[in-house]
Formats: sequence, structure tokens, C-alpha cells
Amino acid sequence: MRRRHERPEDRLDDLLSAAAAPGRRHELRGEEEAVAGFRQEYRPRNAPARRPRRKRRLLAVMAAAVVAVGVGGTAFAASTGRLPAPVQTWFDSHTSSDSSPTSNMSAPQLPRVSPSPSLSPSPSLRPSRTPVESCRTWNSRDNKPVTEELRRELSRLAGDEASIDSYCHRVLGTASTSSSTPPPRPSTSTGAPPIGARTGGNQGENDNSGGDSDGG
Amino acid sequence: MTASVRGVRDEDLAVPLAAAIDGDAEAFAVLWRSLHPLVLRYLRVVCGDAAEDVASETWLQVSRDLGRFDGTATAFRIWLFRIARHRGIDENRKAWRRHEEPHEAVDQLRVMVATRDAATEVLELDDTERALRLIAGLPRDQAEAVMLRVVAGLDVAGTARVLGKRPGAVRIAAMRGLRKLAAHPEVQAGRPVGYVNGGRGGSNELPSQRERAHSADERRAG
Repeated sequence: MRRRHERPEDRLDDLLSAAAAPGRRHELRGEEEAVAGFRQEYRPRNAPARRPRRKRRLLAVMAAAVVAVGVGGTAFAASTGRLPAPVQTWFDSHTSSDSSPTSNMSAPQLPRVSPSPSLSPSPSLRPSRTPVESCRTWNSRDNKPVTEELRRELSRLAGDEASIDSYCHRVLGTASTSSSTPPPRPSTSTGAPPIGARTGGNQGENDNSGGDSDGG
Repeated sequence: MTASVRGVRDEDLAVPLAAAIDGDAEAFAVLWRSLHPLVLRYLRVVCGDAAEDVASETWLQVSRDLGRFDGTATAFRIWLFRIARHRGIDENRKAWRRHEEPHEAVDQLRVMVATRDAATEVLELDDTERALRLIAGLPRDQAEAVMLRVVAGLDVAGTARVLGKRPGAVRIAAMRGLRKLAAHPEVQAGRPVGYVNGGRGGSNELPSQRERAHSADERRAG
């Protein structure tokens, strides 16, 4: 920088140089706030293209979570007898009878699926019978005719109509005595948690592939 | 124009700009350190005392939209000063509305401005402040053209884009502004603008502080 200012042009030049001088300290206050603002406000241009893997993984996790919550909610609803009859029947026939609400054994299994009241099926769904209730109705029928619906339901649960009596005997025996030995089931005998876990896993993978096609 | 921005070259900004577009906060800090003082100075011409707040808003908007920015460092500079200008003009409109309402407030404001100007005379005497004050005294369009050309380091086309004017109009405004500055009594008198800041070996901060203390002493003495 010149010290002498012989000509007016030089003086103007110095003036402009001073105006454009490097930042002084007080002009550089606020860097931390500005950088914090950047960290907070910055959004990448197109997240899917730039970070496909991360988004895909996130989608998979979210899908798995949704499925888990859904299965959990269903298990909760089923165990409290709040599902529509066909769903309840399916649930009962695919889980051991000890998951019915009257069984004490079912209690420790429930928290694993993290039930949430808000996630259970809507209240408009008509409460349905549990196998225990169905069997109680069946056993107390005496001479009255049993509804066709109940007969069909129990037939399905027991395997055939002739086995209803023995099926109900097992169900009610277990439920009333809170026996530690689950009754043998003729068709399927897997427990609730494995079902839930397996279903969640399968559906999670399916949703994941859907996420891939969306994201990619 | 011989005077141009020293230390902030577009080729130096290209790498940090690319990284900041990808979300690198350190790179953003480099951009900020390089350009914030210039934005601040330009905004002082546009919206006076609100410059610091408006500059902060400007950088926030840059932060929000930088991920979608796609251009060179020169284009970034133009974009940055455009945002700053629009924010500054918005701020002026708001301030104008605030001032228009109660009459007492306007009188108070006049008193405040008078007081502040007196304080400014005494306290802010370093070269940069003096130069900025002279430029800010130009008609608005000339002041902006000079600031964008000289301080922001934009060429005529870039300045025209920031101002939303034709390049010819920018050229004329800048030329008139520079002519007026050259004819300014303070410049004509050869009052050494480079006097305080001239010691380029020393720190930028200390001379001005020394100057301030000196001026304060003088004021007390007188």
C-alpha cells in the first residue's frame, strides 16, 4: 500500500482498497452461530440420489417397525378378544391356546409385542369370542341348539366336528386350572412370539424391497 | 478498476463451495469467513444499522438453499449478494413501517441518529470505516454499484444481476459514484485515507483501537 498520495487517482484507489480490506475482527463475530445455523438448516439437494443406502436402510427399519407395531397390536387385540371372528380364529389357531386372556401364561408374552391401545383395531369392530368362550358356550349348550357359526368355528379349531368335545375339554381344562403344560394342539403349535417375529421379518423384507424400488 | 477485493478470489472459494454444497460445515465456515465481512459492509450501505441482523438472515437462507445450489464460485457470490440485497430491502420496508406510525418515535429516532453519528465520528476512524462512510454517502444506486463492484468483487454483469439492472446502467452508476468519490473534499484534500491502516505489517485491529483511545483523549482534553 502506498504511503504517499500524490495524485487524486491514488487517493481514490486507497479509499477503495480500504473499503475492500480483509475482514476486521469485529466483522468476524458470529461465525459459530452461522455454522450452527448451517448445520441446522442445511438440506441436501436430493437425499435419495445422494444417500440411497442410508434412506433404504431407514425405510427398511421404518417398515419393520410398522409391521412390528401392527403385529403387536394384532396380538394384543387378539389376546383381548377384540378382533373380528375370522381374524380371531386365525390368530387362535396359529397360536397356542395359552395365549388366550384367561390363561395366566399369556401374560408374560404380551409386553414383548409392546401393545398400544391406540394401535389396536378400531372400536367399531365387534368383540369376538375366544376359544375359551366358544367352548364354554359349547359345553353349556345343554339341549339348546348351537348356532351354526359356533359349530363351524369350533370345528375349525378342533380339526373336525367330532373332536370339538375333546378340544374344548383341553381348552377349558387348561384355562380353568392354569396348568403349566400347554394342551397339545392338533394342527399348529407354534407360540405367539415366534409367529409375530417371523411375520414381521417377512413383511419387513417385502416392504424393504418396495422401498428399494421407490428409492432407487 | 485497479482496486478490487484482496484475499477473496473465486478460485480459492471453489473447493470449500463444493464441500459446503455437500453439507460440510467446516467448508461453510470458510465461505463465511471469506465473504461475511463483505456482505456486512454491503448491507451497511443498503440497510444501515440492521446490517448485522440482515447478514445473519442472509446466511441462514444460504444454509437452507445451498444444498440445491449448482454453480461456480462467481455465481455463488452473485447469489449471496442478491439474497443479502433482498433481505436488506425487506428490512428497510419493515423499518419504514415501524417509523411511520408514532410521531414521537420518529423524533426519538432523530435524536438517536444524531447521537450515534456523533459517536461514530469519534469512535470509528479506521480507514475502512471512513471509506465505507464516504461510499454510503453517495446516492443509493451509485453506492450499491460501487460496493458490489469494489467490495463484493463482482464484475459488471454480476452486479447487474444482483441489482436487477442492465449492465449499462450499472456501469454508469459505478462510474458516477467513483467520480463523485474522487471529487469528495476529504479525498481531494489528500487526507491520507491509508494513514491508520497503512501499517500493513501490524494487526488490523490494534491501530484503530489506538486511534479510538487517542480520539477519546483529545475529546476529553478539548
